[in-house]
Amino acid sequence: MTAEEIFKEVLKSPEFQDIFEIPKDNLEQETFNTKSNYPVIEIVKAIINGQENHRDKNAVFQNIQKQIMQL
Amino acid sequence: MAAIIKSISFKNFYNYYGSFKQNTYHFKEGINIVNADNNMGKSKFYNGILWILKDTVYDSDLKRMVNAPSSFKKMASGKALNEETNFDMGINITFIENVDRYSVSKIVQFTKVGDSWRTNEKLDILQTIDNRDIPILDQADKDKIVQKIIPVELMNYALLQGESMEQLVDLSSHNGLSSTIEALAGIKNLIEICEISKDLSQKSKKLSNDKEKEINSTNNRITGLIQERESLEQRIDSTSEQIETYKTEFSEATKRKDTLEALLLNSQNREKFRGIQKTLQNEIDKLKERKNESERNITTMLFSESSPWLLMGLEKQITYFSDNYKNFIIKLTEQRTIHELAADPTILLLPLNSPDKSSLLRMLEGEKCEICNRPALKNSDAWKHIEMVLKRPKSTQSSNKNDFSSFYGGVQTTVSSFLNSIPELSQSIEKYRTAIDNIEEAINQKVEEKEIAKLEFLNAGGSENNVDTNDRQNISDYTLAEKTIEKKCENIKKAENQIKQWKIRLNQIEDDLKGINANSEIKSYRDFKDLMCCVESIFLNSRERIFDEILKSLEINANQKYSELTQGNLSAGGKLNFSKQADGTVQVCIKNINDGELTGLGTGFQRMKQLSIIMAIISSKIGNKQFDYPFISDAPFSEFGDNFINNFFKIAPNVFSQSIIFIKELYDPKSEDFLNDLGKKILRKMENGEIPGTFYVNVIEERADTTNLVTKNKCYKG
Amino acid sequence: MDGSQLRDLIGQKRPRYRMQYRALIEAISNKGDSTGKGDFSSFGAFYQTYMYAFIIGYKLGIPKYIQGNDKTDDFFVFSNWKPTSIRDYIIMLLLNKSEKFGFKWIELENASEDTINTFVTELIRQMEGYANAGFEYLQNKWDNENMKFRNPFVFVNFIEELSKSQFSQ
Repeated sequence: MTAEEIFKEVLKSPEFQDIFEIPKDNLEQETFNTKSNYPVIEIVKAIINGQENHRDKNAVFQNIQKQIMQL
Repeated sequence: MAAIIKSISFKNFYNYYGSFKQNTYHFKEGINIVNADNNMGKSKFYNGILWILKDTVYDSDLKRMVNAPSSFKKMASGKALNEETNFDMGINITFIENVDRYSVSKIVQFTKVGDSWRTNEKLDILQTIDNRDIPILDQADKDKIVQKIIPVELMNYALLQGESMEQLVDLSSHNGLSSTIEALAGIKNLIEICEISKDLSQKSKKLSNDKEKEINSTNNRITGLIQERESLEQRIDSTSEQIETYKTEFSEATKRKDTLEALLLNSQNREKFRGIQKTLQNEIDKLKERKNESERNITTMLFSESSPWLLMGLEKQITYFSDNYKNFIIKLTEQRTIHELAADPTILLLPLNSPDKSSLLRMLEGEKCEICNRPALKNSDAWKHIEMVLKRPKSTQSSNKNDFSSFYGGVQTTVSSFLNSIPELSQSIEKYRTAIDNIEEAINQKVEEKEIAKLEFLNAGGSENNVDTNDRQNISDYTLAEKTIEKKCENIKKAENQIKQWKIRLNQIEDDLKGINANSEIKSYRDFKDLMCCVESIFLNSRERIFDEILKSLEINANQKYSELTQGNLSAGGKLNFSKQADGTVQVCIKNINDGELTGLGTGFQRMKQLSIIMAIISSKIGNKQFDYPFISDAPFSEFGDNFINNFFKIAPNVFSQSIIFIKELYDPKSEDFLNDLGKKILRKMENGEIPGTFYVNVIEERADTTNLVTKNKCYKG
Repeated sequence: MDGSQLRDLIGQKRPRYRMQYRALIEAISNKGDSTGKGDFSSFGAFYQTYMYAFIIGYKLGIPKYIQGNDKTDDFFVFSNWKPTSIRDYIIMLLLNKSEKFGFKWIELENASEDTINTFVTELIRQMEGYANAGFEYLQNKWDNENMKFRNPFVFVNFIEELSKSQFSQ
């Protein structure tokens, strides 16, 4: 599966609607290459990207922590 | 569209003596049948394909796969080895992948050196581009091209050998169906993502915990809760690892069980018939001993103290002796009586009517003979005569010298004991003979029973060399595997429950910590940690979901194939049920209409199950992928009836673009065209286009002897 | 002389057989062992073989006496032959024929020691004659119908054959 395919598949998970309360329409409009307003979706992308590009896990984590979570 | 094999050729390969040109099979899309009787090259043909694809061959002596290089001499044509000092042995496969055409040849050069052979193997690959054959020289490229025929991850499903089918479709290990499904779906990336996500989730947890510790280092209660949390998390981690170990062990035991299950029925049968043979042999030995004993005893019976067979027919002699003895006793008594009377002075023995002693004395005194009534004066002649009679001496006969009566009497006593037994001897002998005959009959019967048991034993795969311990070991290993599976399941359940409890406590701790410490900085890290945990879970669930979807579609597809394959069979074959196990492996069992496990199905149905799964996998369309590779099968039909075979040929062309099937069930050596009725039927369907493909029949050249076996082929449908 | 002395006199004798039958006797006997040997059915001790040959000869009816120049051998003293019941039976069979070979029982009661000795010698000679005839019969079977000896019932069969034939006593 390509990164895009994985992303689309993952977005089908009920947690996005149930836990993060993202409306279904919004979910459908999310794409892999455009930035999302939802941190959880950005984290998902970061991890998928990191795997595709064989990035170091620590670097991915740092990215998520600092860029996305701003911690 | 992927690979289609156009031709397979052999050169001095097993029975296929001669050049490539002399031993070529041209194949097409559809079903390509190579019909041959036993020992006519089916499995050898299949070995050629294994050699090219996997560099292994199946050794029928050792009954397992071996490295091809170790088997070169066995693979070489016996005729070539006998008649030549320098020759090539090899196989060539030409195939088309999409528009590219390739020719792959594996060749071993044989050179005789003294009594042994030197060999040199090479792999030659040509790619035909614009009608020109371009040799491929790079080894990596060569390997890639060989993989185009059938890729590694599909070899288990595209290369099928009937005799080892039990072990071939490996459903129970993680490297089995599970990994095939993952390969089919191409979710290898997703699996890596799950790993990464898990790792990041751990990192976020650590980050949050460290932050919490840092901020609350002086608060004992919080520190205590944090420590408890850490301790619980450590325990959860180590227990999770333990669960993985249990799952691996579960998986290994399941794999062992599945492997053994296929063998088990036969092992159990073999054990059973081995036992029966042993028991019968013991009984035979005992009976033989009894017979021998009886026969050895004949001499004893001849000389028996009470009823000696030796004396058969001589009973009259006893009576005769008895009479002799009686007469003897009478005569002896007479003699003795005379002696006794003579010996007794009081008894005077005179002729009959003679005067007695007192009368004689009276006559002498009276000087008168009372017999003639005339005077007998003293000293007269008459008077002297009377005196002489009176003074007549006693009998001079003495008593007997010997007394043998006791001797005869003793003999009489001894032999009379046989008087009743001798007349019965004939009957007694006859009875004895009959008894021995009965034992002989019983032996023969047991021998026959043992032969039957031996036949059953051999039918169950037994052989003369089959050692008891193998089967007993199989049975015992199977039992152990079952127990291990049960135990590991329990262990996994227990550990998961424990983790559940700890997680409940962890949640309580989290709630407590949140309650006590509402610091916003801590809250951000906690939220981050929760978020990463959730993302981890999302990825895992996605992976599960995709896996389950594929599994479901595979189940539907396999059941469709199964139903088509078993159609028309008298006994219902049930339906296939695919279930994911605790360890992530997939188990396929056959269920009846009430969802209970259908047991007692013969090997035919078991193979049907495996063939259905294979067909389902091969024909799966998942995502954009379509697995379209040649399906090559050696003898998949042993244990199949005609109905199954018919069904297979009906559905196979719709599943596989190309299949190459080696089969003996269509062969009839007595028929002119070597085909039985089913074979003729299928050939007719091919000729009228109902079944697309080719039909070859292998024959053995008449003049060949067993060491120089040469197979040739006849093409009935090209 | 009384009965037991006569018995002892007979018992001391060692009935002889022709040496030419030695090989046959050995082949079909197993000295001291009643379990049989080799492929052939066999008797136990040699005297069993002798008793058997005697019975065969007796059934045939015509004794073949040992001649002066015959090479002979003997084995156990007669008194040691077993079972004693069969031994006595043999004595009985011979006694039944004693008149034929010139001795009446009643006359033996008054016979001299010499006469008794002669009687015993003659008794044994008769025994040897019948045994010899029996050995000749068995030798013939051995030479010409050897396979019969592989049958465990061979010796019983010979007895049965002779019992049915005209020679049956």
